[in-house]
Amino acid sequence: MTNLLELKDVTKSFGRVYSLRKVNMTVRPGEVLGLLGDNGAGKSTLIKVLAGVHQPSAGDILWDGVKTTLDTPRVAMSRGISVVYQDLGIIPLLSIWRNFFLGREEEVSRKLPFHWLLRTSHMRSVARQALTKLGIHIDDVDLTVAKLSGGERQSIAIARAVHFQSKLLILDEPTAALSLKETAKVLSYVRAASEQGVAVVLITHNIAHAFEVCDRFTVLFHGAVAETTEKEGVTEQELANLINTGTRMQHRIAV
Amino acid sequence: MVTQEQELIPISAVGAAVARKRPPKTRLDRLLGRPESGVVIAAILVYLFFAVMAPHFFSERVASNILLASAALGIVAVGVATLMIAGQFDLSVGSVYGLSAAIIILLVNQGVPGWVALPIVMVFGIIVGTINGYLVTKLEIHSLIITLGGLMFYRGVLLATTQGFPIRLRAPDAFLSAMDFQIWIIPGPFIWFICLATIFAYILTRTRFGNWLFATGGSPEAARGMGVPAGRVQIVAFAVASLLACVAGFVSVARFSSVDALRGTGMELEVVLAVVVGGASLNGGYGSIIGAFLGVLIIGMIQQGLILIGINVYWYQAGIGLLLIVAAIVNQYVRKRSIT
Ligand SMILES: Nc1ncnc2c1ncn2[C@@H]1O[C@H](COP(=O)(O)OP(=O)(O)O)[C@@H](O)[C@H]1O
Ligand SMILES: [Mg+2]
Repeated sequence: MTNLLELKDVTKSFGRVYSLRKVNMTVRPGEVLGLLGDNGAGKSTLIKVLAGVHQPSAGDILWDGVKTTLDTPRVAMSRGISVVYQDLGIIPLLSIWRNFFLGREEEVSRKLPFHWLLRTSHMRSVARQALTKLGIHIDDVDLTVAKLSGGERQSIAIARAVHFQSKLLILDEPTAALSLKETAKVLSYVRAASEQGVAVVLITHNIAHAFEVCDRFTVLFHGAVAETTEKEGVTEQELANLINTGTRMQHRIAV
Repeated sequence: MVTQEQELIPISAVGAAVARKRPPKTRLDRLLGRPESGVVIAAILVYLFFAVMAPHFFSERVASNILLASAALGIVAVGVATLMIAGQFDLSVGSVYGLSAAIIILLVNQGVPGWVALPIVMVFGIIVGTINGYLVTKLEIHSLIITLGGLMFYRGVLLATTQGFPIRLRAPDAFLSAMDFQIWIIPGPFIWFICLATIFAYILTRTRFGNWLFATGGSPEAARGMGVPAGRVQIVAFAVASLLACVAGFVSVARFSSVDALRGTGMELEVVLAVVVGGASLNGGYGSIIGAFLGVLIIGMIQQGLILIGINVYWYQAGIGLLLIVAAIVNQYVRKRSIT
């Protein structure tokens, strides 16, 4: 089976600061990959490269086995990559259904005279159905997102990615600001998304969350890949060590 | 005021909001949650106040005067509301309005027919706005700076070319005269205003571009992340603001056949006032054209009403200032209600 996504020696520098050094990473169709690393390890930079926000300074991106460039967020989106950023996954002042369809609004049939008008009631009901399908129950899709809890906001972003048949959903610290109960819910939506065939890259520095939903882990340390491993091949303690020291050992061997 | 508004959506409070159960939304909640709910009440109160206090406030002539006084301001306000919802300002609209009126008169006096002069100033407006938008979004210079420069520049050009004297049409132009119509008590300029406000109200709430405007104003980064070309959306919004300032210039020439070099001075702030009274947020992402429409009408009523009462016109400024502060307080309450 070919990898959905493959990064080959992807490097990203901002001036003299290297945020990513020769990163190799793969994402398989339908899996949940945990992208782990301490603050500043380069996780956000990596997903911005995948989102088309940043261009890599060097290295290749392969999408479905074919070398590609992701010039803008719209290009990445058209390939089937959806990203939910830390803190800015969604527009707080817009209603749920408008957020759900943002950038993919449905217009009235071209045959009608005012075909650029939005199909508002249709979009409302589609948004409601898509949320229900993922096990999210919000009856009033006209609510502004600012009224929702953090977990509900994440769930809308996830439902959006699933509904629009994204192949890859990238979530940057989706559980960072959530209560335990909300976290469990969001993680269950992540699972539901992957069961519907969407590959997920889940960024977190919470090892317990990662162990709960991920199939594999890639750990970043100071901008480079410390290790990529199946869940079965690593313990929580070793994963913690990888995040903190870049090796499976408790203490980094002095060089 | 800006800092108060920033407190509305504390991202850090996301976690705290989790446990809270949402009370069911009542019909009253829905009504009060709309951006224009404050200004509707304000418009009614102002109307009632002058209906009681001012003699002849109900007369056709007074009503007609209010509508005429509101028209140019209103057309400009539609554009500025659009731009403010997209998260930006334009202080140059008053100068562009005055200059565009002068351009039309100069063109027509050179023998250019009015129906040709109109598209010319419209193109001028689009170019001015696109330049503003480009400088603000691409070079990331604050819109207050760029458009303050525009305010001075275009006013300066107008003053210099007219030498400070009023200019007027030398001969009537068929097209311009045809535009100066009146339906019952409603003057032509106000009909332009109604049409433009209706079109833009639709664009904002019922089209893809409208959705993108609100999204861009609400959070440019998040919008970009969801595939909205936020920079381009703001550039178009700047173009709309300048374009409508030029349309307002045209409409006022059609009506008054003349322009003085100070036409539109101070309009940029009056327009912001109308739009904010109408419920828009200075931070972008929130507001409505209907609100701006009513905000403009309130200003028109206060202007004409004070004249009727016979109060010294200098009180006008004080009244408008007070209105802004009260409206801002009410709107803050409305906004909080709609988003928390
Ligand atoms: N736009 C930028 N310009 C300069 N340096 C940046 C930029 N974005 C990220 N960095 C740097 O790259 C490093 C990795 O940051 P980031 O990807 O945000 O880490 P993480 O998300 O893992 O916490 C940090 O040292 C950060 O300062
Ligand atoms: Mg980060």
